[in-house]
Amino acid sequence: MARFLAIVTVPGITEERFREALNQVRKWRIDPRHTVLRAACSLTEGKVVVECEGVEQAVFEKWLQERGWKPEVIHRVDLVHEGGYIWKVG
Amino acid sequence: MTQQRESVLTPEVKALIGVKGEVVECWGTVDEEYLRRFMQAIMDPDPLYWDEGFARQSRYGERITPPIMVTYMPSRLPPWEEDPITRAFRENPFSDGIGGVRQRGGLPPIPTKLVRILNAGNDIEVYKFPSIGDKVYYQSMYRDIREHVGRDGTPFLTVVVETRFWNQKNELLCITRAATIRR
Amino acid sequence: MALSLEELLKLPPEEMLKHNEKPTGEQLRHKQQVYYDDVQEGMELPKYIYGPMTPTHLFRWSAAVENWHRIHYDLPFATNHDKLPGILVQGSWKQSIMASYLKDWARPNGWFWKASFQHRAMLVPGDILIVWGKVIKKYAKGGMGFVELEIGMKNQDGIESMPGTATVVLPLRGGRPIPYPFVPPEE
Repeated sequence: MARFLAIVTVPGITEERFREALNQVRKWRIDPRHTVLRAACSLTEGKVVVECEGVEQAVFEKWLQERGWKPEVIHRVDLVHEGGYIWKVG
Repeated sequence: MTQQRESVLTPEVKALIGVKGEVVECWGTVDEEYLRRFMQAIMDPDPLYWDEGFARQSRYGERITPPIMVTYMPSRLPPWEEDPITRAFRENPFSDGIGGVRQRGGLPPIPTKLVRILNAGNDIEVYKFPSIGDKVYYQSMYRDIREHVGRDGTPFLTVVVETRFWNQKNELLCITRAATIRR
Repeated sequence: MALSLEELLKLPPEEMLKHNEKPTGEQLRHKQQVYYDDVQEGMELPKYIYGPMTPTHLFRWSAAVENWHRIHYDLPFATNHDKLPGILVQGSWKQSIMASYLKDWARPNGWFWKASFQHRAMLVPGDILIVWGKVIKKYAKGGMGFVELEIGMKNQDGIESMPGTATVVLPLRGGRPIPYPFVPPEE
């Protein structure tokens, strides 16, 4: 399994659109092997940072594309700090 | 020359079939407070659990408790045991939280190199609802161990552990079976 | 008229919840017996709907049964260490829910005897669970009615989480009481 981080440009994104994109389990559990774990949205900048745990980057890219979210870049993540713990996720 | 595939159901593994663990007395009793928290956690509002008058008129003649509630009583560690959570994290800072729990009545480990364990299913059989105040006892055994061959040609084992639960009157309450795959 | 499982799964999640057949305590108090004679193969049991599940539901169960496994309450551990899609609904909780469901169907005078399950799809907070059962076979033996069921727990997307089978013992109309404690008839 790998962890992917996408920085996405979504000009004019609204709270409503962000919620609509992720407000049901089926929307963020892409399939049994790919899950969008987190997404952080800057409404003023029109940017979303999306974190996906999965096997194939192409699956994640397709998920972004289906939402009209164009990634500027997708990185593979090695380490995560969360709540005082550091995890190796790469 | 045909290569003989080495069996993983060795004589040492096969000898475990029928082996039983010790009989364990669960800490405490089937008490009202455990019942309350359990029935609320499973969101079961059955008045047979809490309405004394209604339960007395039922065919059970008394308040009942949820069918397999007692199967979680082995989780109750006696007060004299070392704190398992602290031990778990002392032994492994990345513990999953249950690594330090040493449940009593465990069976001897299976002497096999097949270390990957997968859950293959569970069975339950229910014979009597435990009564409030019951003491509960349990004993596990290796019910069955078999060898199979996977689609890739490699052998694996299925292991069935059976645990019986009974009360102080020697009434059988329920039986659970947990099947695992070792590969 | 209750919807079939297939019809229920076609509804949006928020609509599904309106078709919950899970009885209240008062309804259980007055529940009428289902007799062996009234059961047909292919018949569906009432469907119980739980959820949407939340981390607090999961925490409450872990605390009640003293299950300290972090995958059920510690989201960073579950996702970063175990690479799970989130904290998971406990298999043990699902089993107890199913036992409760079958106990209810059999009451007041029947008996939920046994069940076999497999744990399949993982369920996470946000999921709605539909507990279902369907009669696949029935036979009378020893003056008692044995009903074999196909059972399961699907989420709002129709994904099966815990497929299995069960046997519930129902009285025959005008027949003898089901013994308690339960004693199965001899083979």
